[in-house]
Amino acid sequence: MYRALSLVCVVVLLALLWVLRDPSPIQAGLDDGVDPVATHQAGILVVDFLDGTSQQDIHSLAQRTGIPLEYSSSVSEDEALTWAAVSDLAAAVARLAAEPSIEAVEPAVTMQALGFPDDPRYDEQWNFDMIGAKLGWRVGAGRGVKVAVIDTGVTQGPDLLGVKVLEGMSFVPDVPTAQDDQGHGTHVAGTIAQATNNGLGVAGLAFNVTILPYKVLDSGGSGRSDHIAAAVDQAVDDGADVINLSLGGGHSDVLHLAVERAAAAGVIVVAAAGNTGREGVGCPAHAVSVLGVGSVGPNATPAPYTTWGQGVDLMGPGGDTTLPGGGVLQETIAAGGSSQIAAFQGTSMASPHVAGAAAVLLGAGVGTPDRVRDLLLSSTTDLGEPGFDERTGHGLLNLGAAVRRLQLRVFGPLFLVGGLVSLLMAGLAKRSKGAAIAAACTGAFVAGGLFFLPLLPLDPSMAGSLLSRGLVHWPGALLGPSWTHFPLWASAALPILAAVLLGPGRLWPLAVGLGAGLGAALIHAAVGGQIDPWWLSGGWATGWLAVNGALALLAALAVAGLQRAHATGRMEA
Amino acid sequence: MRSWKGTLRRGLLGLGTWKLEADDGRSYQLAGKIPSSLEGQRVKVKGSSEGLMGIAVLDGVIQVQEVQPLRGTLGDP
Repeated sequence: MYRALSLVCVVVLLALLWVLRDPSPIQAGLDDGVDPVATHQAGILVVDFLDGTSQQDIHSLAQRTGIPLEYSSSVSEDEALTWAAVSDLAAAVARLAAEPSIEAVEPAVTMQALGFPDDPRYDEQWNFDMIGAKLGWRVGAGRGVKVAVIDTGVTQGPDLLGVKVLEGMSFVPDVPTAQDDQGHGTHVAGTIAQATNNGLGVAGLAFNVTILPYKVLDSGGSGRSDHIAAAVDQAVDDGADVINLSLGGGHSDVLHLAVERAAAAGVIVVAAAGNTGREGVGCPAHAVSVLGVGSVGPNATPAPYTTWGQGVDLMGPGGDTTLPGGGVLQETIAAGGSSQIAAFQGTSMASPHVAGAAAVLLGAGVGTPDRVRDLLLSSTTDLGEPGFDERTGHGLLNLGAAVRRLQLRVFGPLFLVGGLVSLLMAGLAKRSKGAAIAAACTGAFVAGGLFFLPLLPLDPSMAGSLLSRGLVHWPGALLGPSWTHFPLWASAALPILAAVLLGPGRLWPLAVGLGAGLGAALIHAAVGGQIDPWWLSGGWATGWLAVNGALALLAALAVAGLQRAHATGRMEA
Repeated sequence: MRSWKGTLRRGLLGLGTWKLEADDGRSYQLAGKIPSSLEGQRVKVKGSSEGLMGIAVLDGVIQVQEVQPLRGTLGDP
């Protein structure tokens, strides 16, 4: 019976994965208004003649129109399917559409290989492959995380539609809204959250975040440091989890204090190290609690313009446009306000990669900002001199390695401990081996989730990001990281309920697994500071997690004891 | 108001920003109107740099009041 139950659990999980494997992290709804010619192969025309049209008819039409029609393949003679390379697609289509012997004529469409993401220009985004974005996306893309872009503003072009961009605020005198009138801020926001897997344009790193735009720089790209400081304070008040500052120059005590305040309030602050090509990192990147980001080109060596020295914590791909295809591609606005995809370079472009990676990790259940920071800095790819050095800090951002570390060092051990504790408790009940195995599977899954899932070469999906983490982090995956800290969820309530409802019945191994698995996860969170339950601070939070963890374990133990009593009673009877 | 001497360059980002590679070894983002004809030339820039930051992330931002082309060799007024 229980063996069958375990099997059913596994089958249901696999079926769920299969059903939900279609990656649809955002609903961009961009089908309307997109120019179809943009995705056509330049100059290749496909012409389908009415079936039965002879080779001679096609040949004479080709001579008459000057369009060199050929059969598409050796088997297409029967179908009368032809193609031609032409210099003006639109004119050739118009010319041939009037021919009565032609059934259909259209420009050849480049079919994308199936896979995630399907953004047509993703293959030009070397920067995302460089930092292991594909592995990162398997644990999510920052759902529910708020990222403040303090810059020239953000304009929602076609490839930002569907991304949550709030109204934001302008601090520039006489500029009423946080719309971008320069282009820089929109490009930066694109790196963080460009609409991804929407079949359009390019991808972004943390495309499920909410962007909070604060306009502090004018159309010339400069602004007052006191306005920037005010925007940092406002972003903290508005609940930002991450702040990106792709700006700088000189020193400002006011801004320095503001970013330190933001970091102390639990916000991850990321800033561009500078583009002087010399030593000497300025404000705000040089502040101790700010992650200062230098830039590498597509060859993963420091870009010639990147500023180095104290304040550089790590490097990100900021591009080098002196190399072919070496810029960072995102959507931005052109002169006149129209949207375009453009290649930029600078530490301004490197910084949002780190901000986006921090958002992905926050959304993946890493927990507190300090842990995100530690994980980012400890999983970099070392550059330059071995270990930390002043030119490249801890090395190159590696989101893929950070996720691997999270899964293998946090959720993996929790999976094993949850499974083991559940197995021991179910063993106390002295029932069947199948029941013990079912309890162990449940406990392992509840504590650590299917931690290995992101390490498999699967397309990212909501189900994948949900199942790859422990149960206590599920609200985080669905609603945003702050919900992981919801006290009632991070408590023994669910295990106690399961013990009461399922404990006396046949499904008792599930109650044991839930209690033991969640108990292990809560005690781990209490020791590791991974969860901060709302309204509770410091010792109270630790106490809450530890007490509830112990209660969850006791609930599991009570169920095992009850089942043991049943077994003993039956034997005596 | 202060003045700086140096060479005028287009900014790194290609977003219409200007950069002054100053004789003091520092580089500054320039805010304000700069005539395109001065690109690559040695200039004297008058303006103020207090309390400003910008997208170029250089050593500072100069709010330009006046730009004058310099003639002759390095160091001439």
